[in-house]
Amino acid sequence: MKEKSVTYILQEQTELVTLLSGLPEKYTLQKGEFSVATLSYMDTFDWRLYDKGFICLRQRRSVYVLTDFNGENIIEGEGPAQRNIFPLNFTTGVLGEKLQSVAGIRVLLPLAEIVRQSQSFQIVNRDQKVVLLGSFELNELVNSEGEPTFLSGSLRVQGVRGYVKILTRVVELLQSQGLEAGYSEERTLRLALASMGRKPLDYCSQFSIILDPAEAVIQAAQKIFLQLLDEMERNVPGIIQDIDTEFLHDFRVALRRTRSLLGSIKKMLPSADVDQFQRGLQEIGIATGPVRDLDVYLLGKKGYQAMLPEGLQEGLTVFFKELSRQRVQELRRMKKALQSRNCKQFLRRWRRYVEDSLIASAYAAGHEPCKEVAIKAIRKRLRSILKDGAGITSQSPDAALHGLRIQAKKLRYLLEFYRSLFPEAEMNSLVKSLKKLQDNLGSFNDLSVQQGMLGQHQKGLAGGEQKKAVQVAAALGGLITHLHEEQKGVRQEFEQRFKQFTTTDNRRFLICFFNEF
Amino acid sequence: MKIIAIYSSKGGVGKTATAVNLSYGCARSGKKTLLCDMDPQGAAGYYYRIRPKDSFNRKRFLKGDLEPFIRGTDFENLDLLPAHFSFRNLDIALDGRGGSANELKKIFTCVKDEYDVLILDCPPNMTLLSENIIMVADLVLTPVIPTTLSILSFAQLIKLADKLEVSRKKLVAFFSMVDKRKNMHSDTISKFGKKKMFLASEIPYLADVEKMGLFRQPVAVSVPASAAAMAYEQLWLEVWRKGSQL
Repeated sequence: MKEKSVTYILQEQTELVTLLSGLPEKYTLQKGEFSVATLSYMDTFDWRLYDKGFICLRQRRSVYVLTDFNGENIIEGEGPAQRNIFPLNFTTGVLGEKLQSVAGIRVLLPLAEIVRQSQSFQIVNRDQKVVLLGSFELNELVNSEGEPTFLSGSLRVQGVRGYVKILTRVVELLQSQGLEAGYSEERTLRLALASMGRKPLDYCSQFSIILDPAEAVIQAAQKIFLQLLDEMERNVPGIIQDIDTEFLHDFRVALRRTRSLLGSIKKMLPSADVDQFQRGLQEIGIATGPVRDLDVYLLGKKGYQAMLPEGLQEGLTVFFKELSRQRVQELRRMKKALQSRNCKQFLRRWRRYVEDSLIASAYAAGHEPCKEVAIKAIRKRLRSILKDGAGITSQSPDAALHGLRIQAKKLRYLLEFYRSLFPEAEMNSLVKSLKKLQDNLGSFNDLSVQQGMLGQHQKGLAGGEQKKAVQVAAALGGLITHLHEEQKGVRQEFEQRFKQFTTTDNRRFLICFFNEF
Repeated sequence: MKIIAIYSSKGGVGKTATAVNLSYGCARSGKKTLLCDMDPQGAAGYYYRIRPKDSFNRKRFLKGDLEPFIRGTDFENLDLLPAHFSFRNLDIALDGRGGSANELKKIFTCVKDEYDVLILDCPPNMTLLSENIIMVADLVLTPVIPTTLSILSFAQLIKLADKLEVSRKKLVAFFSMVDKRKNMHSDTISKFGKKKMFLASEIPYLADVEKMGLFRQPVAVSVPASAAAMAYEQLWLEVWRKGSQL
């Protein structure tokens, strides 16, 4: 029976009856259900729902609705009642599946709270036949004293098939009062966030920065350092509260990027400065490493389970229990380190240095235009990857691949920092093929680290309950064998991947630079 | 799209009440349903408070130009194509188009992708239109008052189906307006009720059904959980089961 619907935005508090007071006489407005509800907008820290055009609202303690930006196409369902929720904890239903597919392993956090009054209504003709449906919503913000202030409102009208005239009349009536159609739910979310000084997508884990090709490289570095430091600091509360694993992950990526950039410009700065900060950054890296390593294993639990036959699963369960226990300990240690005076002072010092002293302390080389420096650095790194990679044969030691992986990573960071200085298409294709090479090298490294860790664990299995120890040892042995086989496959793939990397696109990228300069 | 025709050559047996209440039940079960009122009296449209558009007439109907004249009822999944006064001459018009018994099939082609079920509320007669209805329907559902005349008219329908070489399997009847206090009703039901063509569900003679004209709603809406509402719900479930077997 339903036809298309239009949603009008209300800029100020008003009454439904007032808005529709100009209806032709033969029609009557009938009010339906009225409700008042406190609603929380939920999203992940990095806006995964919003980014895909979804808005999630918690209606009551455990009732959730997922809508599009217009508040339509709703999926409703029951979920966990905690403040922060894991999509994985939605045990059943379409909503849980949808949230898991969009939010992945990230937790949904309450971002803003509003109070919504909803009034459904219908318009009937002289036969008392429903000829138009609608809903009228007023959203308010409530401050700590409990005083409400008007935030936004909307009026949605939906036609009924075969009754176009009345819909047209109502649309005209609303437009004549200056009402405009719009995305009501997204607008309300935006306004609610603005009242707290925030906006959608104000955090993104993808690094992106716009640089001016002519600005000094040290100035560009200052911008990048500050952005990375902001990113690190914004993730700290989530790490301390242990909301989900990605706070720490993003923190560590920003940390690595910082260290990589500092390393690449170290000759432009006094070595005492560089050494001091590299040491401090490294210490943070060390303090946060064990929890991240454990997170990687714990996140991969399903994958490990799939590698082993039924008979070895029990040992694996014991092993994962032990990993979880270790994580509790390591988390405590890491929190202490991150909240220590030392660490806080170091980050404050680093910020002061970047803001106040970095540019002034830079040597002449630091004042060269950043594009020229970027070209030199990228070219140098790319050439050495092409040279080293070409020298790797099936007989080369594993260390050669590890070396190449580090180089590829450094190149990747350079490309990310300086991306805005180059033509987009060339840059994209270079990054894309580099990514494929990195995937191979990364898998090779991960598999080798995992085998090492499992081996270590196996060695340390002495004592305790004999039977359990044997079960765990068997499970770990099974995993190591499986991972070793997988690693051999990855190694075999390397040559092919590297060949792909050396052909076409990247040569073209080099040529492109030579031609230009 | 399944087509269910509510048909009887006899008037006043409860065809429209059946069409209105079954279409509601069908839509409620989640199927996109179109109720097509073919009776020029337009009672089905009246029950759903829907009048035909001014520009609608027999000519448009015969052209298969239905889409612009379908109107939404007050209920989810349920639309209605109202009848027009000019439908009273549908027979003659069909005859003028060559007298084929397959004309209706062509007319309804335009809605077959949009709806899961099409329910036809048919006028009481036995003409070329009836032949068309029998040909096009997957199921012809006939309300039978447990009286001799009503049984006779059902027998005539069987004869017509045979003449058209249509499988008797698609003819289904149920007892309508049943008043068990009347001996004739009880006798007729016990004599014919066991026959394969008769459904087990019955619709009793109830005031709530008569009052539909007052409330202008399906009984499940005006008097939910009433005996009438439950009887039609039961009937719909049995009809759908039967239809799915065909």
